[in-house]
Amino acid sequence: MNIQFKKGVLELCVLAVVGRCDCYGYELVSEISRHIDISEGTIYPLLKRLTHEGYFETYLVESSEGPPRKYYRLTQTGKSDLATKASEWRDFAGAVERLLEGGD
Amino acid sequence: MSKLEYLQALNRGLKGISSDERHGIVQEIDDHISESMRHGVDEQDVLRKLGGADDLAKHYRAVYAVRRAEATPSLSNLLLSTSAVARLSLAKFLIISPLFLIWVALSITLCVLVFPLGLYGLAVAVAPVLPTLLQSGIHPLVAIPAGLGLLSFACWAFIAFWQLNTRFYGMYTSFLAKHVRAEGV
Repeated sequence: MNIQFKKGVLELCVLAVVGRCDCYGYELVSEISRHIDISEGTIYPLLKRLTHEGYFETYLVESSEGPPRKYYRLTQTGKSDLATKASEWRDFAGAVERLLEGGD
Repeated sequence: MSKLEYLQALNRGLKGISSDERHGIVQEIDDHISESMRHGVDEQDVLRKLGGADDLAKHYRAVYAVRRAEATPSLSNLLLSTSAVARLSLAKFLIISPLFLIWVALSITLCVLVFPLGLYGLAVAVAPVLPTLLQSGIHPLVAIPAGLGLLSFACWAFIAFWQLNTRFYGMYTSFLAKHVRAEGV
């Protein structure tokens, strides 16, 4: 897929996945790379930035399989940002779709 | 490359970020690799999918450098964040470096032009009062008002430039942040 497309929507995808349910890094990355072919590492700096900007908060959960897992949860700011971005995306994708179809 | 080598390379690449933060970052990537391997993915495949350690470090550095420049305005933080964002891509460098130069030019003007102008004004104004120390050769009736005028002009210019500079700094850092986001970080 076009790399510029991916760069543009990765943030929205990350917000959307965490918005559905809290998850830890590996879960989030697997879920995204199941749908989009990405360099998996790039998700982590993005998570860091979004956490700095107050979209996520993190908490640790003990795991039986290894060290405690760092979970991400969407904050109120994150939720409203997700809602805005999702609706912008739908408008935009719809418009592109109409142009591709050539209708009005 | 083994997992350990990958994590060491990542850690080396994170220089400039506080050791606490670095530790947290390396830990999270370590967890990701371990978790993937527990799910049966081959070590080499996990590392390949993560992308190069240098590349990953570059993304982190950009995130941290811009955040620091926004939180603590200073020339060195601005320089570091400029270089961190520039390293994300050459195109970014070409866009942001002229803006950085404008900021530097503003700062230099402030120091090289406005400060000496103010000092000169002050010297002219006080010269008639301290004839043993300073001799301007200008008649006191002219020197005092002219010197004070120059001094107040310099003060006004200083405040104006300072505000312009601060505003430009804010604009510049949010511009950097925008470019980091555009890189998908």
